[in-house]
Amino acid sequence: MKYFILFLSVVWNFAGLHAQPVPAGDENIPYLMTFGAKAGTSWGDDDFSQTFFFLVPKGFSQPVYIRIYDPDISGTTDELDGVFDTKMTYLVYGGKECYSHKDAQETSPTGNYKSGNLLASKTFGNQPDFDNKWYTFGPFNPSEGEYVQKFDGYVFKVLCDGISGDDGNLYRYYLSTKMDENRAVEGANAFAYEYSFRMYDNPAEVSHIYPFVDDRTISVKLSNFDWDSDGLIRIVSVARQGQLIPVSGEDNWIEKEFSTFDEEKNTSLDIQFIKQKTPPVRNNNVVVNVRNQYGELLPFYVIPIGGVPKYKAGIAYKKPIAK
Amino acid sequence: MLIVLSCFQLSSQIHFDAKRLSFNSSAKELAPAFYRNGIVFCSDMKYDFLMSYTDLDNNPLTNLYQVDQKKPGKFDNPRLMSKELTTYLFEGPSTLSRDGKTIYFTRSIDVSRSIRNRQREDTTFGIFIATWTGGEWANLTQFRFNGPDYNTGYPSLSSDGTLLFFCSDAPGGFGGLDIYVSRLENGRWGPPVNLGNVINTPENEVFPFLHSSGRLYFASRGLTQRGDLDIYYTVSIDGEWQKPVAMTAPFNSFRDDYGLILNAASDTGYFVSDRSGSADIYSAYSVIPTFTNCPDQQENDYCFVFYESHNNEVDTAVYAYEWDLGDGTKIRALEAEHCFAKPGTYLVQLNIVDKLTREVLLSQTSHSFTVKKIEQAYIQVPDEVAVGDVFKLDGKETYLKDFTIDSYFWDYGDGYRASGPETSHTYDFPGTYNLTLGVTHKKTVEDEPDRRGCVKRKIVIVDPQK
Repeated sequence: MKYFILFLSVVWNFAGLHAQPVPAGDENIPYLMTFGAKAGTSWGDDDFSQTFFFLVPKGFSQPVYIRIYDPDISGTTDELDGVFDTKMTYLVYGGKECYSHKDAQETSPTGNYKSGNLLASKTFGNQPDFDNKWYTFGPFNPSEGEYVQKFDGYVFKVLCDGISGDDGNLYRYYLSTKMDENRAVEGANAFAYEYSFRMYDNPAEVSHIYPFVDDRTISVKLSNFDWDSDGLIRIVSVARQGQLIPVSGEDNWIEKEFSTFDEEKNTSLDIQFIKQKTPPVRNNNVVVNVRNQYGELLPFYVIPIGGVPKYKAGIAYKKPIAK
Repeated sequence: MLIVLSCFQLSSQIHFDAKRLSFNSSAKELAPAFYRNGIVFCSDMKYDFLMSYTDLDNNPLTNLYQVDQKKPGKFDNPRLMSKELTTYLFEGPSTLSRDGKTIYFTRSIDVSRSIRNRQREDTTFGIFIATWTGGEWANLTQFRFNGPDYNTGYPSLSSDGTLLFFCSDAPGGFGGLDIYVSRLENGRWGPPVNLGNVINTPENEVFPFLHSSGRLYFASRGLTQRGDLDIYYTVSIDGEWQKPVAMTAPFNSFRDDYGLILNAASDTGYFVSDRSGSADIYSAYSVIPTFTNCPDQQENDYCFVFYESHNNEVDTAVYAYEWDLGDGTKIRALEAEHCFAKPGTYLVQLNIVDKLTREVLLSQTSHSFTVKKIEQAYIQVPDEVAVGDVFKLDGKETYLKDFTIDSYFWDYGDGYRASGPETSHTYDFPGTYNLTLGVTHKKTVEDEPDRRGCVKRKIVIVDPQK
């Protein structure tokens, strides 16, 4: 664990990371996704709640803001089911156990998943004024988050809970140093233990999420929900050129457990979502989580630790077989 | 062509020097045979001051002598080989078994048949056999094919002791002394076989010597134009003796030359020559070093199969591999098999194209790949050549690490040698020969140890008539 902390510190201190949008650019994910509590899970959301953690490095002392793009549930961005009747609450938590409570790090909104100090909250419904607009929480003093030693930084938790209704809320976050514009926090990152997101409709677009494989991990179990059999899901890593895994269909989970390679320790996996070309699937939502051999969830960092993993090809040679 | 061949043959043997041995006397010394660390020979030097026998022409008769070699080229004084084997009459050319415990030698058949101190005219010579027992030569027997009415002598045992070459003027030959061979069968020498008129002539053929390589050396007076004795060699192919080839200088001269014997490596031998006025024994030694325990030449192979080494069994083959092999060759395949034209350093690059996304997944993963020659001396030569054809041999492709070549030495495997980075040769007989190339390192500092390298390979010599 000491090495893990050291490793993360090194990465964040020297890699010049900036926590910008969530989803981030390398993920190529158009929107996060949360449905109203009355929606059917066949629409793609298994639990109508999404938890994201924002990590601010300890040395960062300026106020930070958590901004939400298109926070309401209306207009062209969100997914309509009948009429827009959905209410969605965003909650910002800091303080003790906002991250470290075990329920906070689970996939389902159960138990004390709302642990910590509630710093701010806001409920949105059918409010066209916020359609394709930004809403900002804050300012927050970074120290209002929970200090987590292994990250050497302060963690804020942001929940998006579908309170009512059956429409789909599509949105983004941004951890910013400015209230009214997106200005990256140097050295910051964001992560989740379960990722619920919307795919692009364009079949040429490939989305990525990046679970981090720590040095305790020897195998992982990847679960995906409601992929609608929309093409392929593939894992790439520094040691994995491309492993196709089973994909879920409509409204079901599917799991794939596989061993990790030594070279993958302390690197990220690249889970690629490759849409099928024909027939095109539109409005596809998917939920993904990854657990290690202990059943612990692996975090998806929007800025992948160690960078976007690239398969390290090796060139070798041998003598031809005599003919 | 003839001129070239002649010059080349001369150059092929010029690696031998010949030296008259110091123990030669004013008497005749002839018929050397390997024995222990020296030689046995026969000489008419006088060993008994009270009595000496002569032939009817008043020539002194020869006896067997032995001389030890103290170090290469340095001999003790000759001594009578054995009192047991010495008579007052003729003891002549001999041969010894490999273990030195059996001697075959030529002697007057009936030593009692003398007139005063002269050997009678009708006395013939034959082959006698003795064994070394209890510190002396004993168990004297006669070769079963000796005869009272003809001569038999000049024995020469093959190195394995199963063949006995000898000379005889027995009836049924081609005239004079002919060379015969007898095969040891069930411990008994079989009927002599005349080697035929390819070798034997109406004149004398004498001093046969079968080298361990299979080459038969002998001397003939009938094969030469000048009528003197010269040394020839031949080989038997499929039971047929080939047309003999004359040795060149320094073995043959304008006087009688005969009695050549060579060691197994063919780099040291002895022969007899009258070139100084009387029969003397000369040593012949190669001025080209002998290279032994040389590895077989390996063919330089610049062919390789390149592959992506990190690919594992969980990966799904949805990628296209594009290889740029650095010499202008591009291959689209999972594995790229390619033969480079020559040694060098090539930048091998791999692009992996993701067939699902049409993206170049890994752009120009590269590897600086050095193609080397195999570290070895190297003989460039045709695999197959016809008898009599002049062909080139080239050693300049030799690659030895940290080795500056000072000299190149060639052994053609047929008794001939040469030096130089390039040479040429011709073979007289068909067969498969071992070619050896040896190289020596040029020292850069005085106390640097000697370094050598060598390699051997085979060459097939075919008979164009077949």
